Amino acid sequence: MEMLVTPKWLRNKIKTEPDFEIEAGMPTHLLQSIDAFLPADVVPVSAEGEERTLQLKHAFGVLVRSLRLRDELSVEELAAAATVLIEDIECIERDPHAEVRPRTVFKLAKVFRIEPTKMIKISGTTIPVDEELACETLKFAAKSDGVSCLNAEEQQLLGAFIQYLNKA
Amino acid sequence: MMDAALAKLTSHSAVEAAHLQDAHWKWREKHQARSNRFDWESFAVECDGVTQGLMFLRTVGFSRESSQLNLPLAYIDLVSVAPWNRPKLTKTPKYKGVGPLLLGTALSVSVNEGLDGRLGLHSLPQSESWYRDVCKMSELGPDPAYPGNLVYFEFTPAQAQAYLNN
Repeated sequence: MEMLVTPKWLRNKIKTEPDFEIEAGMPTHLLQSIDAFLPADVVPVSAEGEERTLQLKHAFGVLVRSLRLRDELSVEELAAAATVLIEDIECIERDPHAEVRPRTVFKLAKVFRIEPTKMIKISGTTIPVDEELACETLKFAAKSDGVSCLNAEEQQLLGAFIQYLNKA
Repeated sequence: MMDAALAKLTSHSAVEAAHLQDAHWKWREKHQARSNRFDWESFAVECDGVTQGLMFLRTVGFSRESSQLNLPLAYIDLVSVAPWNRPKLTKTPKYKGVGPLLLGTALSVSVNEGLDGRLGLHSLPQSESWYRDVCKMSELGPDPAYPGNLVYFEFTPAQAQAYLNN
């Protein structure tokens, strides 16, 4: 990661900024006592949760592949349009065990013109809490068979799912 | 002397008292709960082989500030400085600049992740003036959805750039 602050910048801050407290976020003690150790939409992963995440990541891969085929893009062309690595697209489409960076999901959302919040929720990047959204995504993936091009029925199915995503 | 200062300050609000109890650094459990997650990053400032400051950062979040509404941002879940560096607990902090360094790091992550410097956090009461008056973040008021009703702050891209350039 490129650091945007330099030693000179920090020395200047030390010289010019007053001595203030900077603490943010809940103290660990209070978080533990109210069982809110993690934010509401990020929960500890159980074995069942891990299985669910893998299913969702597989479904997300089917969605990305379907959208790419809809737009008649090769993997290379999609990677270029989204300014992400070709390997990232290949991993998303083929490997549910691959870790997907949120930044990649945001960039794909922009290319496919889908609301970023929805893409994040169905990408498996965070634990899904929106059960209805997760279920609809899994249903969509189950009905798509991921062939090299979309037939008329698959186009219709994809269109209906995108409409659902943008409305929900 | 540190214990006496802690005892004096724990007579204040419940939030502040609990936070001071965090001085013994129970952060390891939090880190372990998140260590396999790609959307969480943790940072520690070390000097002389000792942790001087700590931050947990989440790279998935969405802006609430009106000019940036629903745009993705990074969120500081926790940032804290070691008690011996805190001006409220000691008249002679051992190291200065830990807070700005961590905030500068969070902004670097935000920019590197394509989030344009957008950053959010819930400030503890004693820190609000730093975020509002020194960092010049947008103050979005107490958040009733957050335990303790802590005040929520955000950097817009322009504010982040101003802080980094200043």
